Amino acid sequence: MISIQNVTKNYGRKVAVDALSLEIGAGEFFAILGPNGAGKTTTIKMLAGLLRPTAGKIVVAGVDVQVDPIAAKRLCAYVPDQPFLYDKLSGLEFMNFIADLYQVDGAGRQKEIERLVDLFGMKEFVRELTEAYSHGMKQRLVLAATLLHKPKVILVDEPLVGLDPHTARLVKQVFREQAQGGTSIFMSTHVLSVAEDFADRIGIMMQGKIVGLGRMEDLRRQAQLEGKLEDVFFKITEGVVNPYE
Amino acid sequence: MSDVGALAGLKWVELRNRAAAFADQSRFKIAVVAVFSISFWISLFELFYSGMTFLQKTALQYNFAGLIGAMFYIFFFALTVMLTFSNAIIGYSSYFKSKETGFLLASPVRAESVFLYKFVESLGFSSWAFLFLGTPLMAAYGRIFEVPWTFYPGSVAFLAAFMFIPAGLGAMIAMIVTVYLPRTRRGLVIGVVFAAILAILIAVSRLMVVKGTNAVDLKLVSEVFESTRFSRNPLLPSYWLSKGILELAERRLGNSMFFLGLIAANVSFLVALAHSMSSGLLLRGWHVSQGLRSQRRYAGRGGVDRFVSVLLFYVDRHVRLIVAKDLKSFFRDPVQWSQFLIFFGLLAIYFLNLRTFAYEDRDIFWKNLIAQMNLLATSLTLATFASRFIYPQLSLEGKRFWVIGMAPMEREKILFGKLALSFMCTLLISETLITLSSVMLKTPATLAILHGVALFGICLGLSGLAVGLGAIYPNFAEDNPSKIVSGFGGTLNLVMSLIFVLAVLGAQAVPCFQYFTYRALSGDQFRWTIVASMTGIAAISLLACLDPMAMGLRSIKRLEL
Repeated sequence: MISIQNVTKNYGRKVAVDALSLEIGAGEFFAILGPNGAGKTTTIKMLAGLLRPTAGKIVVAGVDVQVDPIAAKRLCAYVPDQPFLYDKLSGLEFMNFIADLYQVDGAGRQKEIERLVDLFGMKEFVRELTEAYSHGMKQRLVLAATLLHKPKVILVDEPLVGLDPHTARLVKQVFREQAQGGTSIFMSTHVLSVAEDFADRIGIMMQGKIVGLGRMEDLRRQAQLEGKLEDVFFKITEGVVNPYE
Repeated sequence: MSDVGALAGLKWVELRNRAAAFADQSRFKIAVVAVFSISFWISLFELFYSGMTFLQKTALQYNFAGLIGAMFYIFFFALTVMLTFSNAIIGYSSYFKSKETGFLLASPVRAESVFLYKFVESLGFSSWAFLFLGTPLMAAYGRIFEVPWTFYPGSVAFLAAFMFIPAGLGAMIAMIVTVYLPRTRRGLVIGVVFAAILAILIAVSRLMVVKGTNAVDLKLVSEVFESTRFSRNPLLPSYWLSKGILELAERRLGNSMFFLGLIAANVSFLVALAHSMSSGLLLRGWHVSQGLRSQRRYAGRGGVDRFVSVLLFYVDRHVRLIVAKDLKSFFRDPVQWSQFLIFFGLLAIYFLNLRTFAYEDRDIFWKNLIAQMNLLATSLTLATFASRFIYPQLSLEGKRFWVIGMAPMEREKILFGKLALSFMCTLLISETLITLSSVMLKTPATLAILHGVALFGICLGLSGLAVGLGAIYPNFAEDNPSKIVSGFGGTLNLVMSLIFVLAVLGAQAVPCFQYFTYRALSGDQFRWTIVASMTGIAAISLLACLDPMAMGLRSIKRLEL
C-alpha cells in the first residue's frame, strides 16, 4: 500500500532522511519511533505530499505521490502533530467542509457525519466554534474528519500527545479497527507502549536512517534481548550515535 | 462539489460566523469601530479637498486641471508599485507560510484552486486600503470639478477592477521569487526588499533632474511634468486607470469605457496567467519554503545583548533582558523588519530628496509648511508603527507568557521593558528623520528644536499608549500580529494614537504658523507661546503615557495565566 523507494530529503547541507526504503502492506499498522530530529515527521510529510523528496520515489496505493499528487491525496488522510482548524467554523461546519473537499456526497454523508460525531463523543460541542475547543476536543474532531472519506492510508504524526486517557484509548481503538478494515496506518509516536501493543511492525529511525525494523520478535532478535520495547529500543539505538548531535 | 466551490463555501461560512461574532460584541465596540472608520474617511476627504483647493489657489497661472491630472498619474503609478510589492510580500506569507496552505495542500484540492482561494484573501488584505484611500480622493476631485454623478460609481468600478493588476503581478513575483531565487528565508526577504527600494530609488532619481528654484512657478511645474513623463506612458496600467477616471470626469464616457475594458482585459489575462503558473509553482514553492532553514548559529550572548546593556545601562537588569529578547525576535524575523524598513526607508528617501525642490532657498512660509508636513508624516508613521509593532508585543508572548510570567521578578517589569524598547527605538528613528528634514530644509533652529521636542513627547505618549493598551486588551490566543491589531484594543489604540498625535502637533503648530506664516507674533510673544506650547506638549504626552501605563500595570498584575 505504501512504497518508499530509496528516498532522501536534504535541508540545505543537513540530511533529514537518508536513502530510506520501506514497504507497508494493506491493513498494516506501522509505527515509526525515534528521537526528536530523527526524520519521522519529514518522512510523513513526504508521504502526504507536503515535502518533495530530494531523491527517490514514494508510491501510495499504486499512485506515485510526485506524479499524481491529487489522486494520492484522495486516498490518504494526514493528521499532523498540531492539526490546523478554522477558528471561526463550528466542528460540524468543519466536517462538512472536509466532506466537500474529499467529495463525500450522497445520502450517506450526513449519516456518516452523525456516526462519527457519536463515535468521538462530540455531540455536546460540535455546533460550537472550534476556537473554544480544548486540545483533546480539537484532536477528536480532526480524527473524525479524517475518517469521513474512508481513506486507504492514514498518516499520523504523534496522535496521542496531550490527550486524556479516554480519548487516547478511543484513538487507539479506532486506528486498530481501521487497520483491521484494510486501511494502512503509518504512525509516528514517542509512546513506546502504543507501538508495542498495537503496531504490526515497528521501525526505529535515527539520523534519517532505519536502524531497526520488523515485528516485536524481530526487534528483540536484533537487540538480542527479551523484554519490553523500551529496553529493545534503547539497546538498538545505544552506541549508534548520539541522537541529539 | 468542485474544490473551488468547497473553498468558496468555506469562506462564506467563515465570513457569516465572523459577522455574527462581530454583531454579538458590545454596542460600544461596534460604535467605536464605525465612528472611527467614518471619521477617518471624512478626514481623508477633507485632506484631499483642502490640498486640491490650496493648489487651485496657488497655481493660478497654471492649468489647474492639468496639474491635478499629472498628480493622478504619479499618485497611481506610485500606488501601483507599492501595491505590487505589498501583494508580493503578503502573497509570500499567504501562499507559502500559512498553516492553512499546508492543510489544504495535504487534501485533494488542485494547487490552482488553493492559489485562487489564497489570492482572493491576499487581495483583500493588501488592497482594501487602496479603496479606502482612493474613494475620498475621488469624492474630493468630484466636488471640486463638479463631475457628473456617473463619475462616483464609475471611479469606484475603476479602482476595484484595477486592484487585481498589482495583485496578479505581486502573486507572480511571490511565486517566481520563492521558487527560483535565493533559497534562504533571509535571502528571500532581503531580495524582495532590495528590489522594492531599488525600484523606488529609480523612480525618485527621475525626479532629481528637476533643478527649479521656485516651487510654484511655471518653469518648475513644467520641469516636474517633464521629469514625470514616465508615469504617463500609455503602456502602464496606472496610466489606464488615471486616464479612464479623468475621461469619466470630463463626460467622455466612450473613452473612459475603453480604458475600463483595457483594465478588465488585462486583469483577466494576468489572473489567468498567475492561475496557470500556480499549477506548477505553488506546490514547488511550498516545498522550497518548507525546506528553508537558517544556517546561522547564535551564541548564548551576542551583540544585541551587549548593545542593550550599554544603551539601557540605567534600567533594571530584568528589563534589559526582556528588551534584548524582543529585539532579537524582531531582527530574526524578516517579515517584521522588512515592513519596518519599508515604513521608515521611504520617509528617509523622501527627506533626503527634499532639496530637489529647492525648498531650502525659499522663504520661511514654505519651509515651515513643508517642515510641518514632514513632522505630520513622521508622526503618523510612528503612530502606525506603534500600533502595528508595539501594541501586539505583550499578546505575542501568547502561550510563552508563562516563561516571563513565572520568572522571579515583578510583572510590571515586563511592561517597563516593552516601554523602554518602544521609546528608545521610536525616538532614535524619528529624531534622526526629523533632523534630516530640518537640515535639508535649513529650517530656523527654534523650529528644529520645537519639532525635536514634539517628537520626544510623541514617542513617549505613543509608547505608553501602545504598551498600556496592549496589556489592558491582551489576546494570547492569536499568533498573527495583524489579527491582534485588528481587534478592539488595537483599533482603540490606533484611534487614541491618532488623536494624541494631532493634539501634540496642534499644540506645536499654533506658535509656528502664527509666527512664521502669518507674522502675527512679536519675538517676545513668540518665546512665551513656545514655552506654553512645550508645556502643553509635555502635559499631553505624560498623560498619554502614564494613564494607559498605570491601567496596563494594574491589568498585568491581575492577569491569570
